[in-house]
Formats: sequence, structure tokens, C-alpha cells
Amino acid sequence: MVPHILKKDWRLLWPIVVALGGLQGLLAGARFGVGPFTSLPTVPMSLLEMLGAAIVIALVVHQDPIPGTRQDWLVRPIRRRDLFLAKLLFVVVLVQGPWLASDLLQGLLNGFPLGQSAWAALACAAWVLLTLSLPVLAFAAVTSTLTETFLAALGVLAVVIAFLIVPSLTGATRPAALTGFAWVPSLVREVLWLFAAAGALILQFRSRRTSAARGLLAGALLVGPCAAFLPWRTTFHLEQVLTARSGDEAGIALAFAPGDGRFRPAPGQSLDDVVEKPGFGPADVAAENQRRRAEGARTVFLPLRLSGLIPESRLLADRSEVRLTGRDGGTVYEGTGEDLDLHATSDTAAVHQGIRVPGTVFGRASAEPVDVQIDYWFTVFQPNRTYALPAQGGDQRMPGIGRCATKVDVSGTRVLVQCLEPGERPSCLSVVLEHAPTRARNPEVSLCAPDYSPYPGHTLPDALSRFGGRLPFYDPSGLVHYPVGGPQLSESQVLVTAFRSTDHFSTRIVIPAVRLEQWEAQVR
Amino acid sequence: MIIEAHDLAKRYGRFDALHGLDFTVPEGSAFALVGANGAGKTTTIKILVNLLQPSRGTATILGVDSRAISSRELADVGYVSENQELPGRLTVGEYLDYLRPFYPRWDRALEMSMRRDLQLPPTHKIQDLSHGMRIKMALACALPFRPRLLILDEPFAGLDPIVRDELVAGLLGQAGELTILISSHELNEIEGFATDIGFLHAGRLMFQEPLQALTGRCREVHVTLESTANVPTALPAHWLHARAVGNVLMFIETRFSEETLGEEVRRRCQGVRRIDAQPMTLRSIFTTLAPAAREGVLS
Repeated sequence: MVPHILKKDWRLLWPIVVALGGLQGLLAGARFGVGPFTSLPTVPMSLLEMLGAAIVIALVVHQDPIPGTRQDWLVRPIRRRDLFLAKLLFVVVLVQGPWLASDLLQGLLNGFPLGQSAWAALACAAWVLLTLSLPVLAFAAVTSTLTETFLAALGVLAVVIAFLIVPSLTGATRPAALTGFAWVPSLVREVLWLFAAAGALILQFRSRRTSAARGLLAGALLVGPCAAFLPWRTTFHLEQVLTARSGDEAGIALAFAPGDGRFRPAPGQSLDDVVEKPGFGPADVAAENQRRRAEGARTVFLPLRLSGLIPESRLLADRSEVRLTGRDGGTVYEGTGEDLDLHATSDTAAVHQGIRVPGTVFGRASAEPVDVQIDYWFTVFQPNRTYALPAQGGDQRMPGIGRCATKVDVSGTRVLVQCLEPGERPSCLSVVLEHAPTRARNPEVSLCAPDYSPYPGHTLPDALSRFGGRLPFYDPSGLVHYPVGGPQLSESQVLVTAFRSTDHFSTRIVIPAVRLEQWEAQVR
Repeated sequence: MIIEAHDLAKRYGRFDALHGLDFTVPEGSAFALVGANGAGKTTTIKILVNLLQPSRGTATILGVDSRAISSRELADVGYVSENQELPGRLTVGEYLDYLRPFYPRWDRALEMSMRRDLQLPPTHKIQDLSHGMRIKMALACALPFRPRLLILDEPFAGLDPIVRDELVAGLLGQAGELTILISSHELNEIEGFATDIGFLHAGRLMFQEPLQALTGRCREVHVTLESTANVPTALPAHWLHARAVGNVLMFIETRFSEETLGEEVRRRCQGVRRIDAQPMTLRSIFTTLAPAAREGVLS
């Protein structure tokens, strides 16, 4: 009877299903049509797409509402299992089907092979099914009308907003945010929601226990976001367990290297400003820099030397926790260290670890010796093949990276690199501008957006990952002089290297009797 | 028995809607559940078809616990309710087409004849039908599969007399071996086909018996006396609604017996000239019993 019920729902809902399919096709067409260098309002588009899908899912469930005692279908010999399967099939085929087709088509139109495009589209569809469609099905199953579902959605929105606002008011942090480990709390939350959704669906479709199902969903809704506050060490441990990584890159050692001297920023380099990175856009950067300036913190840069590195590998500090201890053994300051991302050219490397210390702490403790303890959680990345594409007008497919294109930006100061890849993007990329005849190179730009999740699919709004960066070759202020400048651009190429994460490990360094004031940056 | 309820209770928060009902519906009967608004008729029916779960007690329908009735039992149960929500955006024809495959014994000829008799427009959307037409539609969806049990919850509420008559005719026309459980205020309509009756008051079943027995034991009695009548001080509990007008004493006898009435009247009244015991309609019986139940006179 599943197809029979499906046919009835289709008969009732086909106009809105066709409209949703049209919307999905339109948005996919827009993404394809604008090309790689035009950024579309991705978030509103995704929200529109997901909202449309959610409405259709709710409507199809509400064709045979479960709560209540007046619905005719309740006294008909309609097996609940058939009813559920019909609704699920409707969602999979008629709501997600066009979505999957447009994803597949986008992959193919962008020149990717059928297998890769299909795998990415299927993985994305599975992700949408588990994280959007099933929870919406569950919400629709505990409501009778679209209005009720809308009110429930407002409740969800209120919880989400509360979880966005409360941490900023209370100072609570989400330790894994913007790290490659962010998938762990996300997975915990999604699994919790998925179990709650499955539980609610079972309760409703088997025994119509609406109050219990509503309670279950509300509980999961409130508890789920708390996963974002999972302690860092728990997150790291869970990651190790879930990905079966050894975590024993014991060959890499870290030592304090006072002989390397104070940090000397490069011309034009700001001492304290954060920079853009994937997931941390211009607005975030501006807000963070403003916050930092208002904070009056001081940054010290401790010289460290790493040994035991694998040449050409990358080492990324996913997190560093800093503790400053006074002579009396009391904790002077606890916080996190600045980002550390290293591309090893030999088996050793020198770096300066930035530590932002609140102004009051610095004023109190700068002249006194303090013990510095830093706990690191590193990820090692190994390089894949390096590809070259022309610095201007390049457009090329690079297996393992994606289809990338290059062009000079409108200001004429930077080469833009934009890539597309079905499914997950590489966790870490380095791009560098090289003058081919002389092999002269500008500083490398790291495009790391690490994601160590062992599963694919979570690439919303569609099955394609979009990523890229900017390679400066001219500084209008005159502070920076690049080896590869505008005149060499026609003979230059962009070298793109993808890195894959191979292991995580943690280590600790303790540096006794550090005078903070000695390690502020030395401005030239 | 096609329906058996034992100690059936339903509680909503602090409110007890049903207080341990015990009743049975014999196969082939037309059982009318009557009672004032809020007596618990709809709650009882909803428990029987597993739309509600009882707080206590059990009900079996077609031999299966109501909480466990499956599509197999529901294929033998027709259900029509004044509040039934049919899928409004489907047309009459589309909905019948949709329902047909769910019932192995669906009789297409019967469906067509009912559609014709009830004058259901096949291309009209259900949401565009009037209330009366919707009830007819519900009936047309409840009978063509020849159910063993037809449950009707206030099917006549809000219908004009013509539609009521059409509905009753439709019902009687298809009755056959059907067992019917009906709750209704429209006692005149029920009287035409009910065989058994259960009287529900404030969640309690005051009595259950064959309609013939009920109508047989209830009489409106007029006792004409030689002098001015007074209501006797010690009335038997089965004499209800006693009043005196001139030299006539009137009451409702709820345990009428041709043999004993005269003797019982004469024992309590002097100078009896004539005793008239008139049969009562179901409506009159109900309007007598309901206030008595409210006052706690009816045990």
C-alpha cells in the first residue's frame, strides 16, 4: 500500500513539489551560472532551499496527521508502517530526489566524472536526510498543522538563538569551534537529534504517544546544542576513538629556543590582528580585531624550535592551552595560544608562539619570571601532488583538489584562486605564486579549513565544496615588495598543493622563568 | 459479543470522563448509547476504536483488545462521526478510489448504489461539501466494504430532517448482518432501528437492556381519582416524575407490569376510578430518565 499512499499524497501536493523542485533547480542553475568568482548569498539561498523542503515534508506528513482523534485515516485499515514508509519515500524521492539530481548535474556540468559526482550527491543527500528530513518528519509527526509546525520551529529558533547569545554573555567557549575537530560535537548533537527524531517517529507511528514524542524532541532540542561546549580533551579523545588514529607522532619534539630571538614581524604585518580563514570571514575578523583592540591585551611571542618534522609536511596546532604560573606556584593566567600553522621545509623549524596576555596580567607579571606551560594538540598533514595552473585565466581540474580557476582581482593587486570539488574539500591547501622561468616565489598562502570527520556529505547547500584564496603580488602602500609582481604575472603560475591529515598528537612544553616583557615583538 | 467493555475508565487530568463502564454489544444488534452532552458517549466510542487509550479497564472489539486492534480488525469496522475529518482536498471520487484497495471485501456495486442514493457528487472536493453531505460521504465510505460492525458517533447532529431520513434509510438499507453501535441525541431516529440501549450519565452506565424491554417497562401512567389527587408521600423508586393535576395523578412507571400496576396504585391511592398506562417513545423515556439520573433518583 506504500505506493498507493504515496500516489495520494502526490495527487494532493504535486504543485508545491514541482515548485520546490523548480526552486532547487533554479538555485543550482544560479550557482553554476555565475561561475567560480562570483559569490552568491549562500546562507539565505540554503535557508530558502531547506525551508522549502521542510514545508513540503511537514505538508506530506500532515496529509494524514497523527495527533488528534478525528482524522478519518485513524479508523481505516492503513498500516502505520506503510504510512510511515510512504511519507519517507515521498521525502526521499520527491523532495530530495530533485535536490540530488541537481547536485549530480552540477558536478557533471562542472566537468567532474559521473562516479565522483554521484558519490558526492548521494553523500550529501544522505546527510540532508539524516540531519534535516528525518528531524522535520519527526516534528511534523507531533503536530497536526503547518501552523503548529511553524510554532515548533519558532521554539527551535529560540533555542538556537539562546545558544548563540548565552555563551557570549557568560563567556562560555566552544572549544572545538573553527577547528578540524568541530565535527565531533556536531556529530554528538546530530546523533542525539537523530535518535530523538527516530524515537519520536516510532512513538507516533506505532502508538501515537504524542506527549511522550513531543517531550523527547523538546528534551533533545535543549540538550543537543550543549554538545558544542564539550570539553576540548573529551572532544580530542572522542576523535581518537572514532577515527582510530594512533596519536603517537612521538618523533616530533618541541623546545624553547631563546637563541632564535624576538619575533620580528614582516613589513606590513600586524602584530595582533587576526586574519581571515575559512569559516571566519571579514565581518568576524573586523569584530574580533575591534574586540582585541578594546581589550588592551599584549602579545608575547615565544621562540620555539620543532625537530623530527617530515620535510614538506604541515603541522597545524588545532589548539594550544597556555598556563602562566608565578614564582609562588599560583596561576597567573590561563588561556589559549595564537594559531600555529607550519609548513616544514626540513626536519626542523623555528616558530614564534603568540600568547595574548590581558593588559592587567601583563602589567603585573611582565617583569617577574613566570613558568609557561603550553599543551598542544597538533595535526600532521602530508602533501599530495602539486599542480600548477596559469596565474591568469587558469581553469583546470586537479584530482584530489578540484576544479580551480585563477584571475587577477579588480584592484589588480592579487591573484584570485577559486576551486570546486564534489564532496569534501581538501582539509588543507597551500597556494603559492611562482614565476615559472626564474622559480621565484611569493610567500605561500595556507588555505586550511581542517575537517577531520571520517564521513562525507556535510557540504551544504549542495554537494559541491567551494573554496579559494587570494595571492597578493602588489602592495599599494609600498611596504611589501613581492618577488613575483604584476609584470611577471603573464609568465607565472599558481602552485596548488593539497595536504591530507595523517595523525594527531598532543604534547606539552614547560618553559621556566620567562620574563614576558622580553618576548614582545621587536618592531623593525 | 462483538463489543465487551469491562471496568472501562478514562481520566483527563483530574476529570473522570468514564467511571468503570461494563457493557456488551451482542452481534447483530443495533446498540444505542444515549446520554446527555458530556455523558461520555464519544469518549467510550473513541476508546473502542483505539483513538483514545483507557485509563483503566479493558474493551474488546471483534474479540481483540481495543488497544491492539490492527488493520485486520479495522477492515471490519465502519466508523462515522459528526467530527470526522475527511481529507478535504480530495474529491468524493478520489477518496473512494483511495480507500478501495485497503478493503479486501470492498463492494464496488454497493459503493455505486450508495453514491447514487446519497447523491454524492463525485467531482466535488470534500471540503466543499455541506456538513450533511460530509456525513453522507462518511457513511458512503463506511459501508461498501460490508463491515461487521458499524460505529456511529452522533451521526445526526446538525442535520436537517430530510438528510436525517436519507441517512437512516441509507443505514437501514444496508444493515443486513451488521452490528451497529450508535450514540445520538436524535432518539426518534434511533428508535426506528435500535435493538438495545445503554444509558450513560456522567461517565456511568445507568443501565443497558434491549430497547423492547425498556419500552416495555416504561409507561406513562394516569390515575383518575374520585377526588382531588395528591402525590403520595412514599413513592416507589420506580415511579418517576410524579405530579397531580386536578383529580389525576400522573407518573412514569419504570417497572411496568400489567398484573401488578393496579394493585400497587390502589395500595397508595384512595378512590381510584381509572388507570391508563400509555407506552412511551424513546424520547419521552430519555427525557424522564435523564433528569432522574441527574438527581440521583435513578439507580
